[in-house]
Amino acid sequence: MNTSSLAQARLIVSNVPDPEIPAVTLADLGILRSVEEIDGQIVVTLTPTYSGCPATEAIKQDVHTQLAANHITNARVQITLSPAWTTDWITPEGKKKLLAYGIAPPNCSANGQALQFSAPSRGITCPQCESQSTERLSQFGSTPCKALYRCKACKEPFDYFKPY
Amino acid sequence: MMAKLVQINIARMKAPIDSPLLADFASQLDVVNAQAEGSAGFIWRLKDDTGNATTISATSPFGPEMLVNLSIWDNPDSLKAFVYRNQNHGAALKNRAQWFESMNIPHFAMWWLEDNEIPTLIDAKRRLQFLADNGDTPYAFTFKKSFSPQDSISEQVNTHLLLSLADEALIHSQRISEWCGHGPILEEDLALGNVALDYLGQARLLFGEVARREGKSRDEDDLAYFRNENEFLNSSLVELPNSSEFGDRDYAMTIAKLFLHSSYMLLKWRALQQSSDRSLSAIASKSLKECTYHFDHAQQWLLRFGDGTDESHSRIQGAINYLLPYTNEWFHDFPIDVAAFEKGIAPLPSSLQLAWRTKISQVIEEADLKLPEPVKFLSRGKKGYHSESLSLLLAEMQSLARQHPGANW
Repeated sequence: MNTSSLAQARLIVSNVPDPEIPAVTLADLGILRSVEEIDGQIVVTLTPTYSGCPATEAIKQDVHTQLAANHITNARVQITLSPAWTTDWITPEGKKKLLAYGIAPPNCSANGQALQFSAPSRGITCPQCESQSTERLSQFGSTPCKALYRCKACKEPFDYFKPY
Repeated sequence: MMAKLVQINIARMKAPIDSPLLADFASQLDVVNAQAEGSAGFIWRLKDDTGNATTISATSPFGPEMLVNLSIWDNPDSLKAFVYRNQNHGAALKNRAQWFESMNIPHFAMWWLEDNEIPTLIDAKRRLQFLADNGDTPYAFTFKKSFSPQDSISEQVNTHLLLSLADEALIHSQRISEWCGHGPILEEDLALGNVALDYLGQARLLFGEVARREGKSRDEDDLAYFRNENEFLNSSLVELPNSSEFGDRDYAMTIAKLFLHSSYMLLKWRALQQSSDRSLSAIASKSLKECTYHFDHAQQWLLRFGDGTDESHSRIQGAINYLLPYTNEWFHDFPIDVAAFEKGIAPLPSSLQLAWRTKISQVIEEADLKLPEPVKFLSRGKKGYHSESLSLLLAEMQSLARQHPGANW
């Protein structure tokens, strides 16, 4: 296998969309750790988000499918837990895409104040009208990684990607 | 404490114990048993009111046709001396085939007693099965290969600990998920579904690790669906039902349980991040993040209930009072916990108790509730002794997998 096909594999995997939030790719979310060639085989290393996130299985499958569609069948997807994934790994590009999709990205680093308990909903911007006047409806939303918020200005509910 | 050796010996009778075929055998029992008890190194044997173990068979986990002999000795040599050098026992051994079927599974096993608890036939059965599957190991061995009491604990400690954490997460997850579709409000339904899912994810990671280390053909599903209740090592608290005198699902009970448990796991996962076991440390780092949200959620509801109406206040207080004695088990240093601590795998359970009590008492006080005084009660779910609640939970959880083994989505 030559360097260009490794580069190609890397590009393909980077652009696999997240099954739950198709607006962002695996690379945007920061769950793609590496794409390497080991003994002629493409090895993709992923870090799962939440322990129980059902998307992890779907993502593995999608990576295989996308590679196979580009004639790369000799691939292996491995999962590594350490270091644990954090929302700090979502790229700036990824955060922009989340916002455009209607999901407020984490507003602070996961290392620090976010993991202090009962963080109030300060500074979480409504992805629809950009108002700062928002309130939390529930710490737990439609997927493990999101909380449910409501904008007091435009009255629209929205998802917030919570710091992890 | 001196180490003690347990032995189990089973024999499948060709006819009932009071039948003519076994009369010769039965007539020797009293003498042989008395000589066993008089032997050097004998400590204890399982017996019924008649002084024999024959009536115990009727209700034993091995089935009524199996004669059981469970005893404790000071070491394998004392046992060996009695088994092979005692004349009466030796003679009985020779005539074995007259009275008993030959068995193609192990009928004899020894192991070191981990603490001073009286061994049970359920445990003995588990060990004989393990011997059949794995040959001589510190968990169950024969005269072919002896192990020291130290071997016995250190070999099992990593997988035992991982399995115990996995069971804790799985059973807690299953119990919480009973709220799916029954949450008091939609947001809470979703919240508890999410919490249960986190626990389930943690359980899968841990079961996967256990399966990988066992190196047997068991996978995570086998561990979850094809073990019986006495093989589960979760603490008793997580298996307790969501019900109370107020109904089948009492939200106060669930919140109190989640509050007590997540505050404990928060401290435990934090400490386990430093584990010498790297896989466990990786799982701990992930789980800690999730646990932080669980605790936050439970704490906020606890404050609302405590500070709410008279009804909510009395229900949450009642739930805390009911559950608190079951938390003692979390901080009890069982021998396996001490071994894990000595190997740098896990914190000593008792070392977390003060920090935990401080943590929960702050919230409980803020909620205008009272933390009951500690009591001596000690549940032993982590040792495999469970309440009937676990049987019912497992029956529901495992029935599909057991009725359709290998079924796929």
